Amino acid sequence: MLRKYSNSRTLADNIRLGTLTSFTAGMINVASFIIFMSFSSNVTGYFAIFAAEIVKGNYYQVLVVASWIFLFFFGSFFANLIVIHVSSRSRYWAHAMPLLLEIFCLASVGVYGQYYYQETLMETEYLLSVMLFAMGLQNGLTASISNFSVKTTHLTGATTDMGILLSMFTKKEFRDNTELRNKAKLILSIITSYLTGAIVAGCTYQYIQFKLFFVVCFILFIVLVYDLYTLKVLKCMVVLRKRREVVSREKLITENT
Amino acid sequence: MNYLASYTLLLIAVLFVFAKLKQQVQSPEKLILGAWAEKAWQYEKVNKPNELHRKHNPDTIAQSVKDQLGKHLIIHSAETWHFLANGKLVLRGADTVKEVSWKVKGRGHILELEYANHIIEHYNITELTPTRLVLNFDSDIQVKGIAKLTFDNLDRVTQIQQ
Repeated sequence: MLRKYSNSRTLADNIRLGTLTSFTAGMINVASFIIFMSFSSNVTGYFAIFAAEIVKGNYYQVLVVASWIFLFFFGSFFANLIVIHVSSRSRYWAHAMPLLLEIFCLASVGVYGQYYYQETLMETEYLLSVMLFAMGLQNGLTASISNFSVKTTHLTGATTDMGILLSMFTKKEFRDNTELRNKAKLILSIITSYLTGAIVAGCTYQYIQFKLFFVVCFILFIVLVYDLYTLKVLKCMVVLRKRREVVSREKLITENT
Repeated sequence: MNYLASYTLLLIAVLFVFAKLKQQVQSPEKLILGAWAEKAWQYEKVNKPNELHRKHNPDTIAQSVKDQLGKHLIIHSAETWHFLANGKLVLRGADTVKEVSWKVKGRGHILELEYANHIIEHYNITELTPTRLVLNFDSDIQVKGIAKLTFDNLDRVTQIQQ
């Protein structure tokens, strides 16, 4: 999921990455709305709110919203910065570091919310800031490593692309185009997964509250270790195959002698 | 790794600037403290064109309709709202006094009121200045539309008048 980069990624790689990360983004967005009355995985609305608050002269809100937009932007910037600078040393770690940072941010929100949160406005603002930074990291990472084909924290682009693709599928020549069909599969899986995550978070929040963030961290941890696990399995398979070849060769030699 | 450290420092510097700027502006949590007197309840939406006059009149909701509208609301029949720094809100009516918990949420645009039996209500803070507070709430009973509650800050308005 994280090992491959840009054009070397397969549809299956992108679907795996897209579904897992959009599931977590859906959970985070709904959780933040229920707890803090503000969204944390998309910033389009915040640009509109930013302008509206300037017009109203609510400078406190202007600063809060500006800092949230900046943190989402900086998360994306930081994720790609790590990807392009660390990949020369290790591609896996270049892709894993932003995810590790995201897990750290969300786990911090979970721990603070579960044990220390007093529901003050300042706490709400800071916790939302951390969540927006984490979502910026996730969106920047997935978009960067998938050549901009996987964006998981908001669905505006996905909904637009889906509309365009479905209209194209009214013509047979486009329906038969494998690349377009794969793109539709990817977008559909991201939308479905985001929605599922959002519903799951909405249904479970009242029972597990801030522990929901630990569930999200666990899912992101799966994304993180999946490649390590598959690499290990692949290595084991190669070793076993080599051993078998050596054993069969030895058998042949002993039989011949 | 130097670039990562330098950009992290940049992030901290920008956040520090935001925090410093925010200190110059009063937080809605501080601004809302004090006693607020209910001034008007208004319709913000009307169902029919011949009801348009309701939008422009300052207090178009009769007490009986207010009672109906606020039947399921904590704020029902309150005339003075006293926001205390300890998170308590004292709602004083003509012959009633209620105490609820209050919190400001979101970016400072949502007022959350919690009753003793854990019933929670949310109001949009449409306007909050030292002398004026405007709240909006959705209602789907009888009046169909968004009702706007306007308050004057008792302490500050008196100070200004003096």
